[in-house]
Amino acid sequence: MLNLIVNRLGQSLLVMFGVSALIFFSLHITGDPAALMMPPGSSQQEIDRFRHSMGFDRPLLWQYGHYLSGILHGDFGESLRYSQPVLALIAERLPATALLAVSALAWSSVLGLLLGIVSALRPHGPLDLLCRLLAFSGQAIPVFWLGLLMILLFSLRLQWLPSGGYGTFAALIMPAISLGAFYMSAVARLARASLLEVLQTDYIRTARAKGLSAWRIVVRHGLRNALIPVITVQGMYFASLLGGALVTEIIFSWPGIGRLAIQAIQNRDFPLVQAIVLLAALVFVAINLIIDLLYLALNPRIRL
Amino acid sequence: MIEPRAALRRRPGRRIYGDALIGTLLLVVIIAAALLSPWLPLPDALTNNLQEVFLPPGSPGAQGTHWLGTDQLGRDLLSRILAGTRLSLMVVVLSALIGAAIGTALGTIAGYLGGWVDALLMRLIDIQLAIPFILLILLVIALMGASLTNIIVIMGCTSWAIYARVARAKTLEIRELEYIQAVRAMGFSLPRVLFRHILPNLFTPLVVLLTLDVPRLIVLEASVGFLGMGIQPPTPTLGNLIGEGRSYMLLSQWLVLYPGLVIAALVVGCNLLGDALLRRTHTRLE
Amino acid sequence: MKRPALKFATTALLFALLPAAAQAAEITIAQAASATAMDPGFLKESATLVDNIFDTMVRRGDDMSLQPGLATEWKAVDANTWLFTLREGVTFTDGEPVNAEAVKFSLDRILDPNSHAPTISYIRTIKSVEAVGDNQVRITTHGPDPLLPTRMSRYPAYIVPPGYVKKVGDSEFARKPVGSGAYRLEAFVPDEKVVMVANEHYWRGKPAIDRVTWRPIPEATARLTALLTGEVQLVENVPADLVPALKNRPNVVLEQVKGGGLTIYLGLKDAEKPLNDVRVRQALSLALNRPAYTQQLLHGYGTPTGTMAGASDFGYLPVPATVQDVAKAKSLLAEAGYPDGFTLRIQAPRRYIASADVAQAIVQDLSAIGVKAQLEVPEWSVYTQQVAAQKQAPVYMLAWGSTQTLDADAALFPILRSGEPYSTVHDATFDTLLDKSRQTVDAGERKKLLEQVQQRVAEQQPLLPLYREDTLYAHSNALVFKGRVDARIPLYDLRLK
Repeated sequence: MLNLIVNRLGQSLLVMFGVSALIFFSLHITGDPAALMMPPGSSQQEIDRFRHSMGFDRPLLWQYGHYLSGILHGDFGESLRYSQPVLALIAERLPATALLAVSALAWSSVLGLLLGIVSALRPHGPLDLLCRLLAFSGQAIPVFWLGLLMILLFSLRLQWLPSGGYGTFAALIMPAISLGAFYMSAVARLARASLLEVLQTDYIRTARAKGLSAWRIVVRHGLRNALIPVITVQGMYFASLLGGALVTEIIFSWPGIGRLAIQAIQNRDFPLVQAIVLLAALVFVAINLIIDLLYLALNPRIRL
Repeated sequence: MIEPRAALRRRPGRRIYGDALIGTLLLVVIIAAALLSPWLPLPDALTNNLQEVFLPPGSPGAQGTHWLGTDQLGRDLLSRILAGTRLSLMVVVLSALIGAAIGTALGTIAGYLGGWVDALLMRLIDIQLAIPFILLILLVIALMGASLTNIIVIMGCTSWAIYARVARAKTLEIRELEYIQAVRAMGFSLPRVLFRHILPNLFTPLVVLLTLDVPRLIVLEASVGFLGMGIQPPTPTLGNLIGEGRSYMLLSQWLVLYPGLVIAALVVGCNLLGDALLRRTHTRLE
Repeated sequence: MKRPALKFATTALLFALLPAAAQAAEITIAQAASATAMDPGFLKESATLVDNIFDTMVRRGDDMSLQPGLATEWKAVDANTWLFTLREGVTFTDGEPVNAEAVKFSLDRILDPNSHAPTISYIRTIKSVEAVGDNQVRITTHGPDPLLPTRMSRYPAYIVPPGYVKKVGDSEFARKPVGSGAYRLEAFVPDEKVVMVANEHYWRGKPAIDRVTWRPIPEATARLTALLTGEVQLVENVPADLVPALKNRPNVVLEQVKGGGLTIYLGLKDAEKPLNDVRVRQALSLALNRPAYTQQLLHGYGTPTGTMAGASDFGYLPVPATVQDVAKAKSLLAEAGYPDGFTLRIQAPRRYIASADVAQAIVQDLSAIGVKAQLEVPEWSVYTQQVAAQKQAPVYMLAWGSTQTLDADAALFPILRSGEPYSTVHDATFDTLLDKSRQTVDAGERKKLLEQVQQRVAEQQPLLPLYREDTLYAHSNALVFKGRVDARIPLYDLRLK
């Protein structure tokens, strides 16, 4: 067991290393942002002086080594645009994205599970069809489109909710709904499918024959087994959660990491982009690690 | 994807055929309309007509009826949506095929050879999957420009990991089968074994994976276009139509509504088809 | 203390406070871009915010003339030396005095090569700054610099408190700035809001509006929606094609600043064939229908122009825009040896108002004279890199402005002088004229030189000026606001009705 954990940790570290190298070199291969950062009207001399002061004219490998050694000291560099340590910037925006992500996951898991359970209890019936339709539409509607439609209806037409901003509960509603829709449907479909499977096993059939209520069966016996694939999927989807958050934050002007990432890319703010990608990779790797361990805990017979 | 075998036991034929039928029908209608649009009696997708800006759906126009209305430069929305669907589908299909080709090749080789080749591939896949797709695409486009080729290639490059994983898993399974062992014992060369014996077995799961990957790619391409980082206007794609329409939401709602409906319909169609194929062929993708 | 008494006391207190709170005048302003840092010496973006927290020695009045600011008077002692006399009794909001020491400190920290200030290019003519006594400053320039007072009226020449800056360091200062301006900073949450409160001891008097919140809302529709719902009272950067959305809204007013924006032009690489032939360049200019662009694509919020300088700039020459003449263009091309036209690569960014659409229209106009233009619309960050490295297409659309300086030199020198990073022109006459204008202190002489440059632009067409954008603001009708040509928003001048 310990061996497995150490092994997975080692793999994760290797992955992080690979990600950092990939991002670093691809960012720097196509040129440096020195000219972009100087105000228009600067002379070539001034641009070159700036380039030299930032170390952009050193060999790439040296720059990468310098970057890595910085990381080991906890220094992820300074944002080229905000002139602040990158970690501080990310730390500032992280709560906003975390709030969004957690809200989205919370409502989508709950509603998804509910829909899945209701569907599985009366499969192929009208209720099942309705739930499946709802779940299906969640996956078919692109995140950004859903967000825009909601803004159209609730902000522009009805003026019930603000079309952007941060700080009030009203501002959280629409972004959380857009972001969570996809996961809600994924959870619902998966819950339904795996519950259906579990409900057909002999073990459950016996319980049913014994006269136990369907609800009790589902909740006490079926769910635990059905949850395994649902949890696994959540892990996989978490990586795309950041991607979905990116677009959602742009649409709703939500001051989170996603919006920061896009601005950083457009401004060629290398240190910031690198740090955000590393962070995203870290989150993904960590979540997958936790999922793997949970997997082990839930079902010790599964080999990793 | 978990296979709902339970559902199969109840009413096998009807369910699968029903879903697959709806899905295929949706896709066929949209794709046919998109492909045939140059010959349909619709106003041109690229001509500006500043006399006819922001007309509501159903308005008559100089070149014909604007069934879905016009945009900020007086261009017919329906034509633009159909042209955009053509382009988006082309990008998506090509990149799916590229991803499938690269992924399958790498996965099969790694699965077959095992050892350090396999371990290396697995790490590469992990690295690739650890970075959110859209971030990766935005990065590459920001660095290399948003040409058609670049977009197709980079989207293909985000897909390969999934195919590689599945191909590798299947290859590992197949490799241990007796008849493959026999073939190897007979001394056939590696490429021959791969092409004639292993790959055909991969065909079905890969096709299923394709039909499930295409919707993801459609939404990805639309998202990148929406952010303004994909193919640039005036060439319409489903994504940049919505992106442009967003700036004019105060003046017209249909610019955002209709392209999104088409995306949703395409995704639903592909998903229905893919699900039906999944169940029909009893494929397991784990 | 007895409970009822306490309750009564608190209620009474609340009632006493209520009227005071109700009387506080507060507004929210929506901007298109968000502030990243507020150190006026190291700004990477517009100075709209710091302009209200800090002062400059020279102020730009409502009529765009130079007025006394922190300095009551200034004069050129000789060709290379200026003496500024400071206003007495002005303090920063932390109590420090605004004196010669502060001015020297503020300018030195930008001029210091070790600080790598990106804004140094705006004051690079300064050789040294000395404090003469407590309230006089002597500035020595490398050569004659007629623009020095103008330089002292805009960023980066805002005066900062030396004591405070030295105590907290540059990074902290950029997040918690302290100045002597009409407002002081209360809160700065990047990408979310900036809150300023009135400086009661401001040397011009207490401002009318007590509290101002700046909110960055990059998306235009969201910006306008915030105005329509009353969330904000002033919006900057209203796109021309969204103006119809503001019609029929009685509580919203559109404010148009004619010529307040940038001048859009087509840059030409005159080293490349066939652009090296003046007849070809003139033909290209004659093919374009500039009024159509401004009328139809900019909805009238632009003015065709034949010069890069703005109407309020010193040295402005009202050169009329080239009138479209397809026949003449064709004959010029034939004369130059291209009777059947030629192919050309054009780049245009999406960044300016309807610029991609204008580029489309340009392509159409050029095809009418036989020039087949291949248009590329690159992404902005890619494009700026190309332009700065001189790797852009032979014909490229760009915008230039002199808004903060209001001097024709800023609009002409960087794009006409050979060797400048943003110039693709190599013309010895331009070089001589431009260099000479920078050396001439006499205003009349300078004006003539700058006018000669603009005249030559009209004749030689080294680049093709297209039109000058208007800037559009929108505000609630409860707010008294006048848009300025220099794009500043002085909160001090705002009033609530």
